[in-house]
Amino acid sequence: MESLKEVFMGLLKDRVGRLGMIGVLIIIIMALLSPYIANHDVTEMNAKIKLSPPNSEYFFGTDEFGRDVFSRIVYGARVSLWVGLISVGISATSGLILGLVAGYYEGKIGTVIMSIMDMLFAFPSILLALFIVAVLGPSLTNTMIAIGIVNTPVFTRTVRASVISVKSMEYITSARSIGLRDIQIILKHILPNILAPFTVQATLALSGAILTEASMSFLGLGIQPPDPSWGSMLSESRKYMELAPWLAIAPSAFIIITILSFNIMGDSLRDVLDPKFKL
Amino acid sequence: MRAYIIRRLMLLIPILLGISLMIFLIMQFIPGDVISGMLGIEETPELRAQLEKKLGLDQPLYKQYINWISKAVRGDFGTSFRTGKDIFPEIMSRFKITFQLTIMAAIISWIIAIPLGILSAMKRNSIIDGFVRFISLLGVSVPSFALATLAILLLSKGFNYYPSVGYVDITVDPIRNLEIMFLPAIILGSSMAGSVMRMTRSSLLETLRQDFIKTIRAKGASEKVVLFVHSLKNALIPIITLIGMQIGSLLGGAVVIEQIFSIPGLGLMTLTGINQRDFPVVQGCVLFIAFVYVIVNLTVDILYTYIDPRITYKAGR
Amino acid sequence: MDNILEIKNLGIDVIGEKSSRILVDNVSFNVKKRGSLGIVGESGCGKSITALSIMQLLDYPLKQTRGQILFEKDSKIIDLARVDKSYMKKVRGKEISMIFQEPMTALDPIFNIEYQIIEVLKFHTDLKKKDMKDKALEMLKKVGIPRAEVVMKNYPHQLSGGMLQRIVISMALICNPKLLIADEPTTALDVTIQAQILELINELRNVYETSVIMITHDLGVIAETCEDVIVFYAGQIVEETNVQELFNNTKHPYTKGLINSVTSLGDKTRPLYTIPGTVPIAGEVISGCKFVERCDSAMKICSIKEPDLIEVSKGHKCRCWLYDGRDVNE
Repeated sequence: MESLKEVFMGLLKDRVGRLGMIGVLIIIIMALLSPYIANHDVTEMNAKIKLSPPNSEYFFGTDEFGRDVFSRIVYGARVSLWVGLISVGISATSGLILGLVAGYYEGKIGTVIMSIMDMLFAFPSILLALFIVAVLGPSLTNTMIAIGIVNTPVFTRTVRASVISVKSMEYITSARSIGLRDIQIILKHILPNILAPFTVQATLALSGAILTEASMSFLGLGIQPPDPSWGSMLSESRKYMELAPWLAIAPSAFIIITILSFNIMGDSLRDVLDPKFKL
Repeated sequence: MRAYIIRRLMLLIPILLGISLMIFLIMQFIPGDVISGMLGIEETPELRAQLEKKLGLDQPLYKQYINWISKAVRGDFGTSFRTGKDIFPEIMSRFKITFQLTIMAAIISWIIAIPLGILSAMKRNSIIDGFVRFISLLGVSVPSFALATLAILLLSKGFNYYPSVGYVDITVDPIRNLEIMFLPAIILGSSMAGSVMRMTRSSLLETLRQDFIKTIRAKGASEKVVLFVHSLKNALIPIITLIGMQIGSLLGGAVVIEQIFSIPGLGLMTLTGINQRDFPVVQGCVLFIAFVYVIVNLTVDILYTYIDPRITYKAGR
Repeated sequence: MDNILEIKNLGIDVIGEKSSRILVDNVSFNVKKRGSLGIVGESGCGKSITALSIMQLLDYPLKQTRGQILFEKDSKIIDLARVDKSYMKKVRGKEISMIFQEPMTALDPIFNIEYQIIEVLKFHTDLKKKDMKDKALEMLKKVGIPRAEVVMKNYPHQLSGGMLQRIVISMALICNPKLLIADEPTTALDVTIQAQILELINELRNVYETSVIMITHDLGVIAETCEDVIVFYAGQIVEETNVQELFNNTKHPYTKGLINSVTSLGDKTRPLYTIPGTVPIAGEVISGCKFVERCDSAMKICSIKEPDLIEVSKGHKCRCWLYDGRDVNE
């Protein structure tokens, strides 16, 4: 595993990767500093200025209730990123534990875990997420849980595959022969070696989670009003497409920029961490 | 070979049982009481007991599951809470529409993605390659609903074209049907094209790097033979895996696209079911879609054996 | 032309984004008609890419940038470095064939053996399908494949490395080429199989009157199969002579080291000899002799000025200041 600095320098060297990092950075800044960047209250309605086109006061115009689209976009970044981070956190943690166990104990326990994962894989991911939310009821928390569950199998598989390949290496055999306990071997020898594929997977899953959240919110089954979400903003905008096209353009643009940036970063991260993938 | 297919079909049974059990268990997390939701203010203890008995909710959980699944395998998915109609025939007629949309989308995406992927690999590191890679990255990153919304916006503002509303079945008016389905299929297809393009490019490049390509060139093969006879056939193996997996996301993506374009397919049925909290419908639709997805992947696995002689039929997967 | 192939001043570069590095520099050698030439050197010395450049099979970022590859075809002398792709297509597999190091990966995994052998005939002859099949079968028998009819229908993963190498050889020789390039043909095989394959190459060479270039890191292979030898070091020829002279009258310190490390292998009275240090990184710019860092007879001049490849006795060339009669103090 390379040091963090080397990874960072590697990312910077790649011209396209640099663009991805800038995009990700912009979104993170928007999310962290949203109260300072947004110039209006996101829930403040004002019928007098509803559906006004972009101007110097309302940079991206206003929506059907007269709310400031720019501020809602800025806070939307916070919601998107938050949902992405928490849900990836859920799937990464559970995937890590399940994958380590399933990879280390390949016998019965491993088989049971992997069959459950295979079954989760048998659903198209958005459908499974919608189904879980349908059962639990749409809300911010349930959206995160649903996306977290949906992404767990991918992590479990990645971790398990790495564990199995690392496990057969000779230094693990020698660690075992000097009497180290399973948990010590897992923590000290296996875990550090699977960090690289795990990190790449997490970055790519983050963009996937943000995309799923946006789709769910678009269908009205993700983030619920009055919380701003790019997906539901875009969905709302369709009613006013004729009168106020800017309502559709701003959230689309930010959804695309965000997912694109994370995908670019994930790609170049993979190239840096695992040069044999580079084509 | 036939033994292999039969064995794979047998393996399907535990998988499908597992999936149905999973759906059943998730359904148990529905908060509150389905019965009071159905009865509303008319609720009386007698009515309640009567309905519980009718729906089999008075029985222990495992019996409820056995009850549900044994009916489901016979094509009885129960009746809708809302309409009281049988769910299964409804699913079948809706699925035809989704099936058509998915197939159209898949074909469109292959037509776009595979030639571009090949071109990109052949002209590696050229401007064309850079352009194709950018397009494919965009394809992977632009969600279908955003693409759909932007496309509708562009078509209406720029070309004064409005997507048709009012679905017409292919058996009624095929031309009109294709007119209606074309735009949704293009949008659904291009959301898949990106990853197929990437996979085509990378697996073709990977194949071209293999040692045996040098042998084939050394034998005096033309570039055409190297590419179209040997490389492409080898590269097809990972591409087919991806396509199998993509059919799943197409089925999922259909939920969104059908909603946007008001196409009365299985996706829209599921979504309506969710919004109306019509749980038997949701349960039936989800089970059916998962079933279709599993069958698709099985078909892909069997397809492999025709392409890749290294797969032995005896040793499982 | 007495020679089937004459390489003149060959240079191969690796093309980088900003600058290029030289991998093979100013290499010239000849392959006699029906002769056999060994090219020996450590991995990374440029011997394999020299072979690939003869076939014009170098891939980006490798590129032959200098020199001529003169080959005699239909009594005409052609520079293979200057011909177009469609011409080269007719040379590969028909006039010049090549065998690679790794038989396990040298064949396409998803086509059967029959298809892959017949393919060569499809490229270069107008035979009927039936005749192609017969010829393929005959060829498989010639290279010593038992139950050839069954093997024809097999896929590469069903066969052993030794069998596959025999099949690759049969493909290489089926059009009766004038020159066979064997790039480490035995390295990936078991020791017992190695001897069989070398014997087979020797035998077929006599039957088909084919000239051979044998590329190897193993002096034993050279001793068994070659008449003439060139020794490669860091992209240059450092010694060039016939095989007896090389072993009996070794000149270059590097060759001496190579021979020492082989002969000390079985001799328990001497410690195992190794050449100190490692090969310089390919394309690294070194001012003096490229071997100076590892040489035990290095002199002052060696790290200042690069020696030339000069004739030290008849038919024996060496690139070393020890044998250069020039006044080195000038």
